[in-house]
Amino acid sequence: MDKLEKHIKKIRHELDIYSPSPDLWNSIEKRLKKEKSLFKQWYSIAAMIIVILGTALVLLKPTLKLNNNHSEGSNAAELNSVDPPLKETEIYYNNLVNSLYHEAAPLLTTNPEIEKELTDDMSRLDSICAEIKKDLKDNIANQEVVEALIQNYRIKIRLLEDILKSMEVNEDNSGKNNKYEL
Amino acid sequence: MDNIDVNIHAQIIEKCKKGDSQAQFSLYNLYNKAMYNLAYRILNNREDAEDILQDAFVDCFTNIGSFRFESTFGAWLKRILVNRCINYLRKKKIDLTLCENLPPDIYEEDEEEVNYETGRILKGIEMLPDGYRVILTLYLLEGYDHSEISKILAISESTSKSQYSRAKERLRGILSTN
Repeated sequence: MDKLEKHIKKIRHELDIYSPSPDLWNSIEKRLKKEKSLFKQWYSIAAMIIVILGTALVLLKPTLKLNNNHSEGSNAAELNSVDPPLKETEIYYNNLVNSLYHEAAPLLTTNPEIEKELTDDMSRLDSICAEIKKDLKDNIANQEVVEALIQNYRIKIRLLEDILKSMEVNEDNSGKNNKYEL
Repeated sequence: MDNIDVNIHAQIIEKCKKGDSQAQFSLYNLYNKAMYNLAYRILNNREDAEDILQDAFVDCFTNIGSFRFESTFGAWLKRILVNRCINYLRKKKIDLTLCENLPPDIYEEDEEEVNYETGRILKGIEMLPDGYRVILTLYLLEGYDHSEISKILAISESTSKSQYSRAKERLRGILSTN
């Protein structure tokens, strides 16, 4: 370091003699406030976009789920949650079948051959029913499949009603015969 | 020294990060004079220096969240300001590299005791061509080394060294004749 450099270093603190205008801070503050409000504006726009996207996602979710079911299949519970009227129809027919079955049960114990025949028929109908339900998963909106399912329940009901009727007739006849015997 | 500086201002800087305008004003009061003189020496124009200083402070306070105490706040602010000043000169197409064939240390031999007045030195610096004034300011007055200057001005270190040496000789010449 030569003498000139040394001298300038020595008096360095005396060299900052100028000052900016007193208004400079006000201009800086104004610009900072403007930047802040701009930031807030962008922030609220971003928040709004997030809310819109969120709502859209919630609204679109059932549709996405439906598409998913369509491609991959799903369990019956999911299927029913998608189509409540179909679930109601199923419950109605199931209850009807069960009540007829309970009605027939005491009579069937006395007719083991008929009981076996009925059990066979019912299990065949159950397997057909399972096939239809499988189709239903793949093709929820298909009216033909839904109708096939309902038809299946009707066959079960008719079968049970016919059996009940025939057994009741048999019982009546045997009662009459007994009377005659007496 | 640097660490002490960092600790002294840490609380104010943290407040600035939360957008506290009182804290921002405190930092402005601490640094505005030194920064204004630096900008003036680089740009050689009071109005331009004020405009660029304003930009630098706004830039500094809007980006203070990215200040990680890796240097002093003053050094960080100074770098923002210097970069803005150099960009401004470049936009004005001012050439910061001068190729002048001056024999180095021409006045060194017959130099006796140097005792120039502050005002005379300030005037001498103002009279330097842009390229010389900038490099003399950065090296001698602001304490940047040639490696840092080469990055700031996008020149080689050897160019920075030779240009500083010429700037110093030119200043010596101005001071001895005025």
